[in-house]
Amino acid sequence: MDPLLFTAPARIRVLLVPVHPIKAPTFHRHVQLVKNFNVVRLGDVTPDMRGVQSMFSSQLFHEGQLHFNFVTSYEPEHAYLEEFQMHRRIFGVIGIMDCCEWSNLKEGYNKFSEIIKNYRTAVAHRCFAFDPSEDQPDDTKGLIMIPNVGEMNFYMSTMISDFANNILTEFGNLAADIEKRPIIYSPKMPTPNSLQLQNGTNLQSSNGRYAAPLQSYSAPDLKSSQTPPAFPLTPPVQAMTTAGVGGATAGVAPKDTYHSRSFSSSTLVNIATQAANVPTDMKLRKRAPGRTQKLIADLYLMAGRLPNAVSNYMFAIEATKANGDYLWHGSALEGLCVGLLFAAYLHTDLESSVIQSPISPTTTDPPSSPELPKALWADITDKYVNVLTLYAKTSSSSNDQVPPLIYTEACLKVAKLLACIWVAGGWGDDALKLIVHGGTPEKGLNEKWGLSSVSGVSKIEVTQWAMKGYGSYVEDMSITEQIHITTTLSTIFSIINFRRKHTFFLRQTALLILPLIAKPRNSPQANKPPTGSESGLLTCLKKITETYGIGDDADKTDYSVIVEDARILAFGWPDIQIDVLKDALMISEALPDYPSMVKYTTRLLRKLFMYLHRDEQVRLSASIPRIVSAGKKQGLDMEFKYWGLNIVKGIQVCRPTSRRIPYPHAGKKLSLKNEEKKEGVSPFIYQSFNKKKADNAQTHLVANETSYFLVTLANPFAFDMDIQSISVSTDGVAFTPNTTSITISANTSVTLRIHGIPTEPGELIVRGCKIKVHGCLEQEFCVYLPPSDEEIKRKEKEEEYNKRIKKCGLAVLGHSNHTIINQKDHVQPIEQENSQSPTKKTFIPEFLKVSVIAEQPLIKIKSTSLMHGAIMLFEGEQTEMTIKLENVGKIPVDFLSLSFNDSTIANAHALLNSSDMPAEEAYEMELYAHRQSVFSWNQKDNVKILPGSEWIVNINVFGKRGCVNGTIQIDYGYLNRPNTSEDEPFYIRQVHYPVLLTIHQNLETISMDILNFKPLSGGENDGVVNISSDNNNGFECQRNKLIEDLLKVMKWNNKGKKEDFMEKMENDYCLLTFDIRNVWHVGFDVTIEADEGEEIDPLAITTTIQPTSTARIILPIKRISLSEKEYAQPIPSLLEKQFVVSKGPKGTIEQERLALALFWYREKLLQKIKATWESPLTNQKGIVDIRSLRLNKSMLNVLKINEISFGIDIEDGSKVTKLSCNQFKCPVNEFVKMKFVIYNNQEKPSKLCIRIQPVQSYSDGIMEWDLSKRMVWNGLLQTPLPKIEPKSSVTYTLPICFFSRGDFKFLYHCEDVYTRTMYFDTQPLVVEVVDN
Amino acid sequence: MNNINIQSIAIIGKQNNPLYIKNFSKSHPDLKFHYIAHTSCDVIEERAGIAGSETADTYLGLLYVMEDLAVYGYITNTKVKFVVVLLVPDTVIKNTDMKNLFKKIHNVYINQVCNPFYNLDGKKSIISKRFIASIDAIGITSDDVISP
Repeated sequence: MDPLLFTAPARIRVLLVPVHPIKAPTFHRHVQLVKNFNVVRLGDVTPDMRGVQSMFSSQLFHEGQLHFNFVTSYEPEHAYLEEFQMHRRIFGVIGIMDCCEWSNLKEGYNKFSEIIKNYRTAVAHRCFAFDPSEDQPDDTKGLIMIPNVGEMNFYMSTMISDFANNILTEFGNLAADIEKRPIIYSPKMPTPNSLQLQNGTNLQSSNGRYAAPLQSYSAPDLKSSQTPPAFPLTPPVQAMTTAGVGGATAGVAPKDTYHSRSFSSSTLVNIATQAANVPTDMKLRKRAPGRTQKLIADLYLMAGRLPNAVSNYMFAIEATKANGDYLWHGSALEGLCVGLLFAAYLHTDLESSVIQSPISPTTTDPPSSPELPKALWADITDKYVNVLTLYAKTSSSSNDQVPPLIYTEACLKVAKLLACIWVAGGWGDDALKLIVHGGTPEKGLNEKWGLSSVSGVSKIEVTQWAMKGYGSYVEDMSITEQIHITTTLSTIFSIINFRRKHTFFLRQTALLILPLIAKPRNSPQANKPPTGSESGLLTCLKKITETYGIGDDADKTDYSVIVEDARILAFGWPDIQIDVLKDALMISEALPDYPSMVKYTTRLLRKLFMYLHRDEQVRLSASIPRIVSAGKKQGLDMEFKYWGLNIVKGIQVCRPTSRRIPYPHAGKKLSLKNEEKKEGVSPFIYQSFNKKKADNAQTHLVANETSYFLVTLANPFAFDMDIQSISVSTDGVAFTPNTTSITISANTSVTLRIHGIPTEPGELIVRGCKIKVHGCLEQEFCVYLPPSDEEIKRKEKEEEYNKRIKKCGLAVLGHSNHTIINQKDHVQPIEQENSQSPTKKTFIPEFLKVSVIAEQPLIKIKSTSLMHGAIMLFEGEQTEMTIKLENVGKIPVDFLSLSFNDSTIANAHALLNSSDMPAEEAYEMELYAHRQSVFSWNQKDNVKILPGSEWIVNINVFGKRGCVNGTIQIDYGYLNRPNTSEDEPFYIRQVHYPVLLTIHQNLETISMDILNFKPLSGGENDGVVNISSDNNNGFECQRNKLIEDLLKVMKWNNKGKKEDFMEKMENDYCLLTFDIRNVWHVGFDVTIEADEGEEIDPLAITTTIQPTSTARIILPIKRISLSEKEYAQPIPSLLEKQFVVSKGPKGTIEQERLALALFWYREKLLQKIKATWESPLTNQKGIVDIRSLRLNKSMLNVLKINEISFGIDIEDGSKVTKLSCNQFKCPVNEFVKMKFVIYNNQEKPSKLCIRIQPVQSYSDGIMEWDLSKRMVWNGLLQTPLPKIEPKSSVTYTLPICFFSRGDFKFLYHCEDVYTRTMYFDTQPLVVEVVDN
Repeated sequence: MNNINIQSIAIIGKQNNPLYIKNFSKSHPDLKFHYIAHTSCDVIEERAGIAGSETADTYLGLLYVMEDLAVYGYITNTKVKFVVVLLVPDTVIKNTDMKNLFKKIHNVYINQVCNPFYNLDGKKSIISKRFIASIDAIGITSDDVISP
């Protein structure tokens, strides 16, 4: 029962005591049973047999009720007030006996008789024996057997009525006693000394004893402040109070000390003597009647005789007022209020009889005014204002001082009364019921219409009353009383929904209780479930933390899942939160309740670590294992989840080492094609597709191979975090993780490499990490995507909205609370959804998807033929190297492909892309870059390298100028696996082998020239040579010598005959000469080959070039004829690159044409010639680079065969001598036929016109143009020629007769009649005219 | 005015979040005033609710007395709350004095709000030096008056 019930003064206090032995649960069961009968209608009270003498019981029928207050504990320290407020006294004792425990009931009753001796104030006693068995005789006198069959309720109510009668009778005696008393003293607080002494002895005597009374306050009050469903039924702890738990008799003995103080004259004497300033007896005597009236009124009130009580109170008020007896005046007023309230409750009409009776004209009470009667509650509050004033007045007097407890209780009572009215929604039966019976008001109802205007009571009024009762004097009260007050306050504030204040006082209570429950640590407390008070206290803590924004809700959200958030605290004040949690920690430590210790420690750390000092954090974290081990010692299950913030910040697959990376290929067939294509180059400079592929290079894991993951862990706390085990947690295909452990130092993050082996191909989903933090359970941590901007905005919006509709902060607690109460079943699931969905939406776990591919072979390069991977070559040298591969994997290799790269390619490309070089140069560069590869390989089919076996690959190496290094890339894989289809993608792996190259230049070709043969030929076959003149002879000799020399120089080794040479000279040959210089310090044999194609055997010249010497190579080359179509085509590009408009300076059309012609003729020429070298000492072989040779225009003119060529001959007569090509000797004054043979070398017929212009040239260079007197001709000098078919000729004959001696020159050309192209002969025709 | 003995000044934001709490007392710990300010929120909200309907007075008067401390409240139009804790005096405190005191605090707060860099809706406590100095001045002057 609530001790601060407004109607407490109208209740008769009856103590229920257990008659040991009795089991606690049984006792409580019976207590509950008895408590059902706490209201007895006066009419039901057994009529008194003794007749009229009794004041309180009569045979007359009375309206009214008798209220019992069955208690199992009481406040012995308030004994000094029992005389002042009668209801504090224990009037009856009911023993509760369990028949099953007693064989002899008589003995049990004797025991009860012993017990009741301790309660001397008790005027009536009964002993109820429950659950009697059949064989137990109901013969013990005084013992009341309560059968457990039949009309038990009826039986019980009869018994209680009888008991009530007994008490009422005794009331009469009591009243008589009081009336006889001449002096009635005011209550006097035991002096602090004695009180402390008593407290001290109490503390020492027995823990259980002392803890008892306060529990009686804490537990029920808590109960009333909780929402009923959430609160576990606190088992009444009074079993301990009245009898103790363990001992049957032990509990009884110490009580004596209190009850000797209880009610007796001796107490009064004691108090009287203690009082220092005893007022004169006279004064007291004067005051006695008023006080007596008041006490009797108290008794009437309890007896349910309301009219009598009210009238007695009135008298008392009158009397005390007259005497200035403020204390008693106030008390009487209080009693009056209770009486009125009860009357209102029972709808007894007292108004007419009492209030408006002229008995109280002196009081200026509003009810007496003729205006509308105020509501009773308003009247009561007004009266209480008066009461408080009266009490306040007593402070000046020394002996009648009001005990602070009385003052405080008065305040609190009113506050509670008002709160009840408020919560009930106004003055009415509901409110009255609450006030009279106490109990928990149903919260939530008030919310709707709990406006002050409706109920008439404002929360502020309640607060004011309540806070009045919490003055500074409270600190001086005993701890029990303080607890009493704070709990009541918290209840009141809970009722009016002042959550902060409610919590404040709840915390105050907890702190007050704390020193009382502090138990010596070493006390053996094995496996005891938390007693009622402990669990009550824990619930209390829960409540407190909730209000401060750090409640259990905080733990519900799994923080390992939620990303560290700046807005961790939903609401609340960090400073207070820290303090509250520390308090909670302290309290649970005192209990000690290890799970809640862990709970609060972790909560403090997790939620408020940013506000905690480093040392504090370290201390707290260090305490956790200690608590856990202590808890384990108690046999508690101390396993708990990791409490901190998510420590995994990121996880990614570690890229394997390059030789282990598998590269995907679409399918077997395709892949092979691709392989070939690789050689070709795409026509685009920028290839977006290629680039993307390179970026997207996905990491694949290989089955049965160790794969590595990079995990980033962060520790936001200021202490080192010990991670006992961490491993990758996966989904999908089978995976064997490997665990490791690590310590993350304070405030740091680390990146850890952990590994595991996927055991089958498929898709592996990396969920996160399984981490076991020291002392916690193993748990999975995932990585969460940071919420997107949109998400953040949405959340902020929601938050803003929540603010407006009071869905955040403390308001949400109240809100959810009463919605749950109102519609328990419907609302809750929705709420849960609401609370969960945002978190789900906001934090999407990021699972890493990695594909695991089938097992792959692994190859390593065992050895190579190179020393230290380096090779030294001469330019153009060709050699061979070998690589020995070993299969170190578990499956065979059946696919092997080599590709190469060297340093020159990149350089050349760079050069090509950057500079704007002429096309022919670019072509040369491209040729250099791509046509000459440093490495080449002859692919072999049917590769099969079994696991553990070796394989040798031969690679050709070419000494390319400017190359410094190269890479051999070996792609390999296992294609023809059993049970795989053709199209299935497969993977290859790569091995790279870098080669260092040193290329030395040994030979260089320089200064090319092409010479015409023609001047040397002619006339040789004539016999004339031998019999020619001296001049001629000399000339001949000179020429012959020249040829001989030439042959010598040429070193024509195989067919070094003059005749051959001469023959060649006749057949449109020309001479190619160039120098080869040996820049090395060893001699080389150089072989030059000129391949003229089809019929003609290739010419070959071999010569040895000594170090640093130069050899001149002279080579007869057949002149080249190219059609215009051929040589006018643009210069090709080897790279099929995008067309780029040339930015270089553009030449004239002629220049362009010439450049093209030069290019194409050179190409043709170079095709014919092959140059190789050999070093006889070292057996090295190679080719000589002849591409450095360049043609120029004059060389081209020699080399090429014109479209239209001329042949000149002079016929007729033996006198004409051909000196050489186009040089003739001719006699004077004789007609000769001059033949002009014109050849058409083109593929098309041509129509030409010939022009001939003879001139006489003198030795001094003067030309004589007018030759009409020196020669005559028959025909036209300028005439069109008949059409010349392709590859044929026409002859134009011009008969001429020279009249004069001397040198004549004939200039001639042909002109195409359509295109106006002029064709000239290489040399002019010179005729030397001599005498016969 | 000289009977006002300021123990603490607290500024509480509209979300009932602490903006600034200053302890001027020598006998009580800081946390005590934190608790007092926190629990005042209940009463202020209630009072303000009534005040809103009847009178638009921002001064809420004595909220409650706890132990030897009297708690006075004031609420701005933007629902920022000022709480001043006084030692329960022997003489009556005039409401005008209290109003003046709150006016001063309000002015200081307005100055703070006028700072363009101050985030009005932020939940962080005020750390402006000027603001703190001004509040200190208010608290200490009244203290100085009483001490001699």
